[in-house]
Amino acid sequence: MNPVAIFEIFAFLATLVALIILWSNWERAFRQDTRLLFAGLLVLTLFVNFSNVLEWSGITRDMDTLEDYVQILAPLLWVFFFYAFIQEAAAQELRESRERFRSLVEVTSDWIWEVDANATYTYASPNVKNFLGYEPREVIGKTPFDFMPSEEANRVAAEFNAIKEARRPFSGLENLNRHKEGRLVTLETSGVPIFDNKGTFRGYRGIDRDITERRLMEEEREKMQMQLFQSQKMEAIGILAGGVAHDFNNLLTTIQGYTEVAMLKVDGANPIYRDLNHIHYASIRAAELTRQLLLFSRKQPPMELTPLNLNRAIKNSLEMFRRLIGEDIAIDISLGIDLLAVCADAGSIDQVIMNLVVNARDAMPDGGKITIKTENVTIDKEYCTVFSYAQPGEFVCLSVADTGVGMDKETIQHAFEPFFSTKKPGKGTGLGLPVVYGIVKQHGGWINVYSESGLGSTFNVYFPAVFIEPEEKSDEAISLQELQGRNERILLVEDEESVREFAAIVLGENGYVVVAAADAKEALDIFEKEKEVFHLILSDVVLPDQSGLQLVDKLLLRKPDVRILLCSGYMDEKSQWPVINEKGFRFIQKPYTLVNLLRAVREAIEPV
Amino acid sequence: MVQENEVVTLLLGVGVLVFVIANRLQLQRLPGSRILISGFYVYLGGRILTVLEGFFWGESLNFLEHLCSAGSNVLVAIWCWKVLRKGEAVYNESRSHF
Repeated sequence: MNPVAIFEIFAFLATLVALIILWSNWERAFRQDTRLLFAGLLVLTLFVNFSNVLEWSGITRDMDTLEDYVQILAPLLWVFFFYAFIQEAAAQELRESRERFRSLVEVTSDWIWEVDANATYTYASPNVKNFLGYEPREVIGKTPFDFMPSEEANRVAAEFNAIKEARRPFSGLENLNRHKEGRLVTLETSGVPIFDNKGTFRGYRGIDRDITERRLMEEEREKMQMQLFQSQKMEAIGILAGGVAHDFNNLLTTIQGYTEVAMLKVDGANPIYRDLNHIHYASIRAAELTRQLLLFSRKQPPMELTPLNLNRAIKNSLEMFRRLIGEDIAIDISLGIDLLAVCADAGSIDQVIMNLVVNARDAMPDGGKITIKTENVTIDKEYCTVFSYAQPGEFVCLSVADTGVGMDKETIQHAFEPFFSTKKPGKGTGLGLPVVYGIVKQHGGWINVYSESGLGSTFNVYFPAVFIEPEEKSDEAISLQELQGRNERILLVEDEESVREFAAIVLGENGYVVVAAADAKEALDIFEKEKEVFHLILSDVVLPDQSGLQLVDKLLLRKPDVRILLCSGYMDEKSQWPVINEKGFRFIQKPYTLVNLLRAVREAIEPV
Repeated sequence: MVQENEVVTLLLGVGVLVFVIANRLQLQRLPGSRILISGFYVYLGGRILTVLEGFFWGESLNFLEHLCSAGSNVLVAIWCWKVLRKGEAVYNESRSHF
């Protein structure tokens, strides 16, 4: 057989196989037009091969002419097939690209959008539902600013217009949006400008990211950092206050003490007496300032909670209030009848009342009226739902109102923050109200503030009531005569010379025999030499060579029945309060006044 | 002797060649494109040889022409088997990169 015929048979069979493969994959092979063109090409080739087989195997040449013409179609079918195939591939790529985009849009946690040149949404991905609660169709046709509170819309619109004018991309544009449910959502928007083929600006395309939670977390972190900073500041104040308190209180003991001694020697009508009184008053205020600093830094000695009557506390402080507030401010006291007692530390309560009155005074630079009121109140559950920090039950309400400048909402929010002050520099420490807040919280109470700018302020302080009758204290009635000593011998141990001298003079002038020592060693020597004939050891807790507690322990071993009175200018752990309490020693806090010292000595020698 | 239809076919084939060269990048991205395009080149080679056999080495070139024709058909059949039976060119609407 002619080799050409063999080639043609081979070609025929190959084409037939190709046709069979195409036929068997007809439904899944290519697009319809590509498929038909390819099939046409194969059929045409098959016909040519068949014709050639017949021709070269010598069977017939009848189909030769037809084959010649049919062959012309072959290149056309090739090119059409190639073209259709390219088109199909391009269409497929486009489909895949769309699918990829759709998948990305659905998978991403961001919201993808497009706006036209007027910032009107032309596309919104389904995620908009998660962001703003709206369906994409509800968003399309609206502008981003339609979903923002008006003030925010104005701000963002101005910013966006500037970006749009410059036709520049933008990122991280933060904006506040209102969710369909009403809550606010913070979004971070980024976008790029869209231009058509002619370079005409068509709008923007971009993404929005929900950063509400991130913002909240950042705010929380900032708040925690602020709290940390605040606590570090408080710690620093505590260290500072604790450090100065000792020396400061020693100085104040001397100032207060000698002033009182001098006042006792001068007639009340003498102008010098008035001057001394000013010094005395200033020293009291200085002592209060130290105490406030220590109170706020929580370095104060433990509170002594006893049932007390607020009416009595106010009455006792009334004279001091009058001196404090000046003549241009009237004071109106309205004390509740049958006022219940509160379980409180007397000193702390005085501090609360004093700070509120001083605060009221400072709010009325041009004069006005302070009203101090007490009353029993019953707090019900309904009240507690309004004021979540309140508790139901019986309470005593202390109200201090003024007719001063009042406070706006912003000021009220910060009123109890330490070092927040609306007063001029040097006029306030910013600790008055925070101290009040701290004390009231420690007593299980709370404070409500009512104020408006220009209409004055009212501070209502609520303390839990107790149904115990407070003991009547007759301290005030005690006269100096009753506190006089009866030649009892006192060993005074004090390292601060001025305080030692003052205490020695006061006690010496009031009927005691005082032997003074500057440190523990000297005290032990004296105790030894004087044959232990002392009724009382009055010792500072912190001495240069050893602690006052170690000293009294040694002295008690030698004379177990000797009375002990300890004193300290420290208010923190250096005062060794827990040990003093545990051992049952009497204690007097510096700075002490003449009367306080005499009373403490008397009570130590003759316990009630 | 050169036949008119063979010249026309050759000219059209050259036109297709121009198209193939012009769109080679797109064609290269098609599945099994190297086999298919080779098949076309071999086919075109056969068309060239058909014309040339009218001028010289008639018998030899005719032999080569039919060899090219068979080779082209075999390449197309291989391509067809490769892309259709093995599924390389079978597009699926749900195909995704994810």
